Amino acid sequence: MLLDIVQNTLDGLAIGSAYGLLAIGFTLIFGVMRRLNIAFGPSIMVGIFAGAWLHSQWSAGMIPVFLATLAGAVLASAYVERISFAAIRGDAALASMASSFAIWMQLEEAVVHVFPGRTYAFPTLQTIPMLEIGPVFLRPEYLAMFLTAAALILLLQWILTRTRFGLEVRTLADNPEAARVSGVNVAQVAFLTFLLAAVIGGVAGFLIAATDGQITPKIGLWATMKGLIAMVIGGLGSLRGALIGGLVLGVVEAQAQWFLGAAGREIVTYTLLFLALVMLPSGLAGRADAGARTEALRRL
Amino acid sequence: MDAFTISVLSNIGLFSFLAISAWVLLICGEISFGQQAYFAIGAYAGGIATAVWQWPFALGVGFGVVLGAVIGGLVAWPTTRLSGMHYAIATLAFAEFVRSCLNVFSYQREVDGYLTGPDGANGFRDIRWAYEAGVEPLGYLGIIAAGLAAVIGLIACMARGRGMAQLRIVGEDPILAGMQGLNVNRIRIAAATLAGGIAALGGALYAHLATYVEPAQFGVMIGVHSLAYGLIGGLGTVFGPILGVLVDIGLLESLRVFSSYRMIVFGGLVALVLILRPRGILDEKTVRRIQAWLRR
Amino acid sequence: MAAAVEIQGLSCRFGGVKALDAVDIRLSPGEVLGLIGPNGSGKTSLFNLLTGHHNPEAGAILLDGLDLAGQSPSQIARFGIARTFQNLRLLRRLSVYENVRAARHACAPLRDAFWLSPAARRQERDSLMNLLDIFGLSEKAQKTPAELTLVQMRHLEIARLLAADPKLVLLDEPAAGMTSAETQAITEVIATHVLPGRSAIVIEHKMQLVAALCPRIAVLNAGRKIADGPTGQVLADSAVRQSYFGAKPC
Repeated sequence: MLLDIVQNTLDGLAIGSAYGLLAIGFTLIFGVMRRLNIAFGPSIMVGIFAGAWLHSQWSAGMIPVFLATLAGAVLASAYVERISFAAIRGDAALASMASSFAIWMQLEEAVVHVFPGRTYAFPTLQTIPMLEIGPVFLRPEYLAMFLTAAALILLLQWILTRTRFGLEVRTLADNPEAARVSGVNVAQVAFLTFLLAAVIGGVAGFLIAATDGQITPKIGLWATMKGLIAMVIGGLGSLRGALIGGLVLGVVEAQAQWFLGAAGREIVTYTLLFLALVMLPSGLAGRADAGARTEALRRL
Repeated sequence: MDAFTISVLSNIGLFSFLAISAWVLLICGEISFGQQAYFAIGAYAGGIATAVWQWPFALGVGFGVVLGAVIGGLVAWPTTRLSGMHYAIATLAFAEFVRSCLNVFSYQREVDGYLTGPDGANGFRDIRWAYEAGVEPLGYLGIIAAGLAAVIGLIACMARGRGMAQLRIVGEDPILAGMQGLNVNRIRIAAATLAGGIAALGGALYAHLATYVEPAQFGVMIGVHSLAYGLIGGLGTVFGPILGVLVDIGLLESLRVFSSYRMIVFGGLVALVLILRPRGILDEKTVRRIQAWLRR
Repeated sequence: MAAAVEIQGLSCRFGGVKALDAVDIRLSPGEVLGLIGPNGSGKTSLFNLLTGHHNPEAGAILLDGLDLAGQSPSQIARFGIARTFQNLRLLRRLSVYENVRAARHACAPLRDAFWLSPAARRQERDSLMNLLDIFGLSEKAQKTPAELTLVQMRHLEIARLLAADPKLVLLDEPAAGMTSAETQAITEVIATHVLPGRSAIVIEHKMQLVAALCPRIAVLNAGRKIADGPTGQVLADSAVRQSYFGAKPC
């Protein structure tokens, strides 16, 4: 029993770190744009299928597949940014969201056209043997997932705190008006942030696909859902919160799956999510929705 | 009318309920990804009432509507104080919660020697009121049209009364609405109740047309679709979401020219419309202009 | 039906900054008070506390003896307090007419949400159009606020405030951004249509308006009330001049 819990927690933390990356991608975009890009998951899906295609055509190794995944995610994201965000006025947040949904439909249909089968193989890391730490097992791909996610988050932290671009991103997220006045090229920073989010999402997508070994176009919906949920659990607009939200979601899902099965997992996950939102609206990181209310009051 | 036209029109009608339901909340300033939950509740409740309990059709549909409205209000009660994104995700969580509960919800009784009722993920078969009562597809289309007309009529009444104005003021600027003496929370709960009832009406009608429903039909995708309909068609009038449904199902599905490229064309079309008109085709400004023109 | 207002020891802070520090203000029914002070001195914060959008750290606000502490903004509005905004707060997507009508939806019974009799509609329409007429906006009734000039927008806010028929009006820089002639016009409108039968607090930097409307003024500086009395007397006060106009004492 206790052992099961420990084992589930380890597995949950690994998958949760990938959720965390997805949530960080969402948070970056939301923070800079104040708009929701629900085509984030499908953009990653495009990347994953690009990787799978490279793999099936030329049986490419891990590194080319990884790069193809990133390239696909970045290209699809750039398309989304141009059509659904850059082309729509800044104050029309709803329109951007609806538009990104429309692009989602396009991306999904396009992928289904190119890959008419139901599932596709994705190269996996399973050549490394299972690690045993005392009585618990650690799947090597989970360890790789966790370590990659950790490294990426450190890198992101460095970019955001040490580079000029990072400073601009933080200014823009904190106060768009101030950023504009102090000479930040808002459109350019927003575009680059979109691409940065796509890279992070691409890495998360690659890790997940490489763990599962098979992919379907449904992974787009799946990635959007997990990322959104983890972001909101953690508290909107906080990168640390997004990571924590992802880890919590991963662990809860793993435990519920083990003890209650798939149907039980869904019920428990969504009940917890609903309760978390109602009782803890500022998220685990304790930061309230940066938008609506404070902004409305500021206008008084 | 041939069978194909009737089925397309029926679909347009049924999706319109869902789209109007999401639109009511959009007017009130809230994004709901989860109106399909009430559609499902209406479908299951209406189906159970007529198929398992053998209630008359109107009573069964009424039961679905009341249940949808009450649950809509109850869910809104703790969630309306959430803002923007949080509310959207809470509705999504609730809808997925409902769907996963339906996946394990079994309630079968013997009716005329057959086990009838929902059976978890296997779905809910034999909601046969229309068949037993001898209602033809065209007649059923009439029932759907009457239901839709009732909803549009209700909203028209609210537009003549204070209801729509109250919803729009709360949606536009909740803080100012409070300063005008409006009870923002109560209005939002009322809007969610109304939206829940409208979606449930659509669901109950859908169940009796399809005769078979299953939890997988009420996924997130149809919720996001119904939200998009209002945004494409326009937020200015109740005909906006219906126009959105018409564009999607009517134009693309019935013409079949784009067949397998439907979503690529639809997606591109929507993106284009939203660039040109961020509040949809029939936005507030256009509607006011049309009204002024009609009044002349 | 003007209201008496009693503000006792009102304090509030935002973060570490003390926005208001033990402010006492008393208004007898029908009295008009000018509230002046440098930017950031707490004038608008006082309004926000009066309308219930911020909670005071200490002190009490009594409207006709009724304690407003803990009441929601919508309840306070229904008690008869209405205000305008320095940065204008209009409903952008609604028509000018609907903007004014917004003040009439409070307290309506549930039935009204679904149905208004033609007679009631006509009566409401007539009274609101009359109101818009006073402000020269009846021609623009079906336009959106965005199609108005700044001056017209300020007039529209005052029309909306009057539509609620409040007992206490709070005007936050009603003449901001106006020329001298426009200020003169709005001063006359306020004097003839807003102030009679109501108590009022007016925040304004333009002395032209304050001197014409307010027999009494209070001065805030850094959250404290530093002067309160008949207008001429207060304006002559050297401490006020120093804080407000930066003038050296002669």
